[in-house]
Amino acid sequence: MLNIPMLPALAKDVVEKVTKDYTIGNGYDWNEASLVTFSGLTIVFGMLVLLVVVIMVFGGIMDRINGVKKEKPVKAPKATPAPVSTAPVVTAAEDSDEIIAVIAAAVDAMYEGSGVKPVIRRIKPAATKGVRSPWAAAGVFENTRAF
Amino acid sequence: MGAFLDTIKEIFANSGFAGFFDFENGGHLNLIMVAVSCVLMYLAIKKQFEPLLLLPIAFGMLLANLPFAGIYHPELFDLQSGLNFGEILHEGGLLDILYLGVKLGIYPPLIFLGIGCMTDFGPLISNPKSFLLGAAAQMGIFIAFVGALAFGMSAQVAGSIGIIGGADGPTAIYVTSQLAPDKLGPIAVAAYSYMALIPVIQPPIMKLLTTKIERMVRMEQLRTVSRTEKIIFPILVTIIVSLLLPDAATLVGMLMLGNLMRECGVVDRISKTAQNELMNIITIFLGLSVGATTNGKTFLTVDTLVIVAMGLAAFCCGTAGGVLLGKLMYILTKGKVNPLIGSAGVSAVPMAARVSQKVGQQYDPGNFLLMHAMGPNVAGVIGSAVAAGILLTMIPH
Repeated sequence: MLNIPMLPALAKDVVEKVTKDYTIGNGYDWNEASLVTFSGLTIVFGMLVLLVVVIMVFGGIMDRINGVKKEKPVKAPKATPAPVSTAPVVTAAEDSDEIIAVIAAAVDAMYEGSGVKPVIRRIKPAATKGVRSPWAAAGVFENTRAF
Repeated sequence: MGAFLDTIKEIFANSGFAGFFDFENGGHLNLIMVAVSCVLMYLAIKKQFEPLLLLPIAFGMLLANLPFAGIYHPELFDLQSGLNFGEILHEGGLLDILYLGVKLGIYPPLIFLGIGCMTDFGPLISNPKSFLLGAAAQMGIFIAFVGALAFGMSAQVAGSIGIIGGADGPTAIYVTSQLAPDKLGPIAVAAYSYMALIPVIQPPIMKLLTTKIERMVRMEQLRTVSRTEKIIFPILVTIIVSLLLPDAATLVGMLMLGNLMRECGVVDRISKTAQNELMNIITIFLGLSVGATTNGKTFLTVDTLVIVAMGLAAFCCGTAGGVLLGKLMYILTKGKVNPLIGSAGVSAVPMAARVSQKVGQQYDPGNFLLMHAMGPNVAGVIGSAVAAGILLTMIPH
């Protein structure tokens, strides 16, 4: 059974033992430890702050360049949200115009900024029997890749 | 008959089973490590705790602790006598040769190459303030460094323990292989185990340090980042970080090379190789090599307990640091930044970002924080590489 009146003396003994016996090894002292800690934190923050500034400046430059392009209405690319094909799009009978519009918008978003003008020629349902859905496949890939 | 029995006895005396009972040479410790390796394999396979690395590590541990197998010889890598490559090649086993990739600091940068190929820095570029959250989460590294020193560890070991707080396996292995290679086994096992436990460790800390209103903050949609920005970003970061901190150049440089290969779009073939075949090969070699260093005599010590405890402290402090800076940003931006994304500043991509998303959705199902959290998450990778460079620069080795 613990002798409760002895506990403060016991605790003091443990603290003394830890601070006296567990000293930093290999000639390293607390001054150097403090230097590493504060310098390390300062350098990490400083370097990343510098990166923040550089990227914000760079982002501003890129926004300005893109903004200049948008101000030229004649040369600006037509803001067609969907890649439209002159050829009739072959679709399954049950596909509605709304679904086609959504698919076209998604394809356009994928190719945005690449300079490529995609053309949709055919829309058909993907095989589902015995095949994992794209969402499930994406989830499996995401959870099983390294890191 | 007598000769037959003597032969049987001799075979048994020279077998690994007898080796387990060689108490003078720590045979019983090898037996315990075999049991530990089986537990880790169970965690990797059944519970899926970072299986891609934990399984090879656990099996390397098993192979290295089978007596008389001669697969790994730690005496060949004795620091005091220096590396004798000729002896390693002539006398070494399979894992001795593979371990050279760890010892010479080759594997972790190659893994960073693959990570760079798989990482999208778009959320970070569109919201550069995320860098600050990535920096704050590295606080755990230095707090654990001081804590390990207080426990009587040398500066080299303390630095290796501290880097666990960066939640970056390759970085932890890279730093430890330079500073304290004899502690590589326990540090790697601790680092990857805690990375797998992020969904368990982080949420209580996040909820403790934030209010319900803060957790429900919906952030503004991120701006679109152009391909040009994504191409120039890795080049800029490499130049700036490498010039300011040369010791971080290896890790940051390879990370950014991988990212450049991904974003430029003209080297798709080698980008795919880096993130698939190369990554898988290096993962196998690295895991096996690291596991092989977990010899019973070096692993089953009080130091390992300190490593485990301080590693957990590093993780917790890193999470807290990121969340606290997130709270400060919430105040300064008048409620535009959700503090939960600060916890994603630890480098465990994308697990930590997913945890932010999950905790945020518990309070607001329509709140999608994942992409916002990816910014600090990938910033943490850069931050931990910078912190590693600082430790390698400032701690003598």
